Amino acid sequence: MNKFSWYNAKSVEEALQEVNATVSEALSPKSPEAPAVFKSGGVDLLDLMKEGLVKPHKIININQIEGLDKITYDKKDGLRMGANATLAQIEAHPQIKETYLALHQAVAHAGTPQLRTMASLGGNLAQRTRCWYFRSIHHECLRKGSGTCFARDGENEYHAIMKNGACASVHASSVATALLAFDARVEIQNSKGKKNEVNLADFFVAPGDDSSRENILEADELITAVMVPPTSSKMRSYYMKQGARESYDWALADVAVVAEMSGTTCKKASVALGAAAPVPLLSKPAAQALEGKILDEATASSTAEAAMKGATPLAKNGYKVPLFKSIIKRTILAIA
Amino acid sequence: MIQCKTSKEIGGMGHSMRRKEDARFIQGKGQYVDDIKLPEMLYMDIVRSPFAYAKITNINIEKAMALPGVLAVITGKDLEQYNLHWMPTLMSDTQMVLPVDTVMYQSQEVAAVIATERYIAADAVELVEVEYEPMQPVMDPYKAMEADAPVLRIDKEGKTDNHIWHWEAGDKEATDRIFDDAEVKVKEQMHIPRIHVASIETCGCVANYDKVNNHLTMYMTTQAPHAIRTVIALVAGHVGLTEEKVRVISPDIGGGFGGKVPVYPGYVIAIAASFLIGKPVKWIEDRSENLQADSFARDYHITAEMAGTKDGKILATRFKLLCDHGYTDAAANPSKFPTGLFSICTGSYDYGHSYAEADAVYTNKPPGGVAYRCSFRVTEAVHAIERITDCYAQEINKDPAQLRFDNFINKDQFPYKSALGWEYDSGDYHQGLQKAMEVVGYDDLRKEQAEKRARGELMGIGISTFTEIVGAGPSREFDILGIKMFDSAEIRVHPTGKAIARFGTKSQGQGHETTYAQIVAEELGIPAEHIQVEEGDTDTAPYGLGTYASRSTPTAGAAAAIASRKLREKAKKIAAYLLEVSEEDLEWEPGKFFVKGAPDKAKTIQEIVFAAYTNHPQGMEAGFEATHYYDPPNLTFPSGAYICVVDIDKETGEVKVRRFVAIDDCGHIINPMIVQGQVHGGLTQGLAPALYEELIYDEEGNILNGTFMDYLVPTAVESPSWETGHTVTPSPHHPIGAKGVGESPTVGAPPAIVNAVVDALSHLGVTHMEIPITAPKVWKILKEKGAL
Ligand SMILES: Cc1cc2nc3c(=O)[nH]c(=O)nc-3n(C[C@H](O)[C@H](O)[C@H](O)COP(=O)(O)OP(=O)(O)OC[C@H]3O[C@@H](n4cnc5c(N)ncnc54)[C@H](O)[C@@H]3O)c2cc1C
Repeated sequence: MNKFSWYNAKSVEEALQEVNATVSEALSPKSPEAPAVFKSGGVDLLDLMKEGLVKPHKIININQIEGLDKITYDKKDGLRMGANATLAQIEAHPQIKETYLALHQAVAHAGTPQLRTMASLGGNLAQRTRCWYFRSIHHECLRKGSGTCFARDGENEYHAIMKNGACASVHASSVATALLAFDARVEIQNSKGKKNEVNLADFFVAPGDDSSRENILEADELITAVMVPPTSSKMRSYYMKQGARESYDWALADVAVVAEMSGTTCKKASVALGAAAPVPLLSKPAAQALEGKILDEATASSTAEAAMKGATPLAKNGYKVPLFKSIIKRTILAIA
Repeated sequence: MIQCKTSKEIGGMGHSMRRKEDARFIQGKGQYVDDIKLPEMLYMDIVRSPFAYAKITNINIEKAMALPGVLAVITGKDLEQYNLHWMPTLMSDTQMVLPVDTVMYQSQEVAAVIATERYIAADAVELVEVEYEPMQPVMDPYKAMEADAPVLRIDKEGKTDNHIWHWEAGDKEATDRIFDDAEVKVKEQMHIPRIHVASIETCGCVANYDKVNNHLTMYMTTQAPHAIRTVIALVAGHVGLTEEKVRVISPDIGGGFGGKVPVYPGYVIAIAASFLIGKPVKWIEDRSENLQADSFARDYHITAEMAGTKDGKILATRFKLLCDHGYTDAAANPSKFPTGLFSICTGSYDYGHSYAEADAVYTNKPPGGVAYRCSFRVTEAVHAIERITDCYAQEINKDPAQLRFDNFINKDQFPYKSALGWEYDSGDYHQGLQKAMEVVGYDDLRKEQAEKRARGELMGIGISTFTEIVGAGPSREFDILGIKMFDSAEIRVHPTGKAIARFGTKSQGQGHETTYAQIVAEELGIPAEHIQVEEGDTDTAPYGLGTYASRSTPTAGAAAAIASRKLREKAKKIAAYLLEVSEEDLEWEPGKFFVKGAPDKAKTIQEIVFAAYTNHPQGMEAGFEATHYYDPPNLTFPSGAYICVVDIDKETGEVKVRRFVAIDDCGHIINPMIVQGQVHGGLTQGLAPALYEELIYDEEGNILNGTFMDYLVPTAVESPSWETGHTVTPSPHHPIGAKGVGESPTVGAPPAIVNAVVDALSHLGVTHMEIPITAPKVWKILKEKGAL
């Protein structure tokens, strides 16, 4: 790990004055001479630094910016979580558990209690992929600027089964899976003081569009909050995750389903898949397969089939297709 | 229930005494090597190779040297001047300390930086410019054995292939004949993957060379401090570091598991640096260095075969091994045993013929082959025999428990000579398996399985009834670099009746400070609480070969008992003198001698010891101390009957260990609580390779999971609630009838788990699964067998 200087930002504005690169830029050939990057909980940043992938000149600690970890909930306006809210805070929030069960579940299954105490929501959405070629200093992969994805023909048992034509990595955030199903929006502030809101689905960038980044964040932008729309009493949600190990690990597959019910019939649904593709995915075919149906075994199975219809598994990750099918099914049946 | 001969106050054998060492560990007051800070201490960090196989064309140290605080950058060329660039391994192979021109595996040491601060050393590592010419590495051991494979060890004069050694045991012809004629033959190919001990504490040292006194103190994470001292003297004697000038201190160790037996290049470089600079030098590996470069374990490719009758009588076994050692054989086996004690592969069964052969091969992987919580390749042997036994049972459609009962060595056949020549000391295998089946409820589980199978659910029951071989070992066969594998105890009792006892072994979590004290308490009646145990300092402890291979209790534990008995003999003489009776009139009960028929005429051990200093008989040597070097007459053969129940989620491929019953027999138990703790830890380390752990390399020699993010060590969450129990079959030749237990669970658990998984899938025609059994593997096999 390299030497760096440390800057404790007191405000969002101050932080945005100091920064000059996203971590993605800092680890690419596009890196500015002396990269200065944000750090919230530092879980992912420290990892990337230990692996020698990023060598920031300056670390801007945004973790102590007052109020940036605030969580507010209101029946009418919904949920607003400051970017620095830790996963532990979100997990412990009683109204989130009551109103946004899938989000609670996603957060509660991420990492370990120790990690959740450190990990921030903003950092979670901006964390880089866990693809082992990307994480290896010895592999100059597509995402680092070389033009080749080693995983497509290499050791790809943990990799993408959808939208994997250019790069087979999967997005690491399982929190995003739940947020996506809830139609969350991300609030981003830039150095000119302008606040912008984007749908979470538009926040992520597919490698086909730009392989050097996983989200739209520019160097002088900071996530300030994530907003989740209010729910109705007819809405139900559920989240499931399957990993190689029960604890301390990212997902092999995870699924969040949010359904608006009318009796036993699903009126409107959204189905989000994590660890399926380079970006967290909303599955339209799955949602269509659910809508207007009674949530039973048959619907669950046909939804799972629909969700996996376009899957393009690689040599070693074919198992992820039935794995997804089974957890999609189970998640739907848990709601029913 | 375990019968105790001593009171709770004395705390001899059989008492679940709390571990004496835990007071400091629980309070964070352990003293590990990284806690050692000496005045003017320097820090070392290592430049490592990004390539698995490459020529080094140039090393430019200028920029690194220019960094303020950097004192030296040491390369192979520097060490070459002192003839220190190569060192012997414990297997009499050779290993680079630092390369002069070629690197042989990824993360190999290339140069070392010495600086005034740890951070500066790390920064300087990045400033060392190394130019490489990469070559195509040889990663597959089978390819390495092919005639046209590039020869890797061209440093060895006349070497024309990658073959390291050939080993065989047993009567090939007789065994082949039985196979030729046998009614039933089964054969399976299995790989015991490359894994890592992954101890919580990585390796490291502080080398402190004192120029004025020409003396080296080496604080280091070693399981065998005395052997290391001798090795240092052998390697560096020519530059003045003769054995009396070397002191090795092994402080508290945060887990060893065999990974802290070898000598790593980092230790040698630190010594060289301290020697040249004249200041203490600290080197502590980080996690990735530990996982990527330190000795691996296992990596055996095994073909196992069993021949038998149609009704289930085992007649013979055959084993063929290919042993991938990486670029050098840096295992830590006894010298005469290149495959360790693999020849225990005949197992717990009574049959006449077996033949095993092995070939070892060089590849571009890190060196090693250490015995990870296993007495020298016993894990590999047990996996082979317990798996192939199940294959046989499956082939003839016989219950695997019944097949085992029908073939076990009977308890009255001990001492039993195995087909490959070991003399098993004692055992009662029938009792062990019987007990395990009762605890787990075997018959009910089989019924449940049948019902589930009818519903299409996957559940399996797996058995492993293994025989371990530990306590190396008798001097006629066992040595490391020529030093015989005895071990030692020295007991010194102070005038007030409290004692210090020192040993040639070194605890890394085994609880020696408690168990050794209990052995002495058992024999002398001095409360264990008042017996201080000390290990790990070669200046004070008697010579011994250290702690690994479950050898501490069988060797040093025996030495403690015998040294105590020597003292008891002396105590008897003093008691007779004090009580004015003859020795024959005295009787011993823990803690005192009394006159036969007159129990109030007695002298406590404390009174006797006091007299040894204040009022000893004329002509008798004063003081109260004894030493014993114990050369075991035989190894000990602990055994176990393990039953594992798994449920397999057909859709996700996930294997869940629902229950695991482990009945261990380690002879007499010193401390039941410590045995239970050892078994819990060992079972978890047996679960690890069965379901999670494997070091993965790509064709270019890159390690793909060289951090804890990707190398999946199971945690408490993944571990089932272990159900433990024991049977007690004492070792007849061991002074206290104990056998050693630390490794049984690591050895016995993996095949029980695999057998359970295969059992769950057997109706689909599955006969074997390679470990680690991951969800993708389960899914693949279900798909192949048309079960999805
Ligand atoms: C063993 C392990 C298991 C894990 N398992 C899971 C899992 O199951 N599911 C899951 O989702 N995650 C998992 N994680 C990932 C973990 O949750 C993330 O690393 C963590 O949330 C990152 O948050 P942080 O605050 O520490 O981010 P940091 O490391 O501080 O930052 C990460 C990145 O985000 C940027 N950043 C931080 N805050 C902002 C902001 N407000 N605006 C813009 N950019 C910002 C930083 O510059 C950096 O690039 C796991 C991690 C580990 C180590």
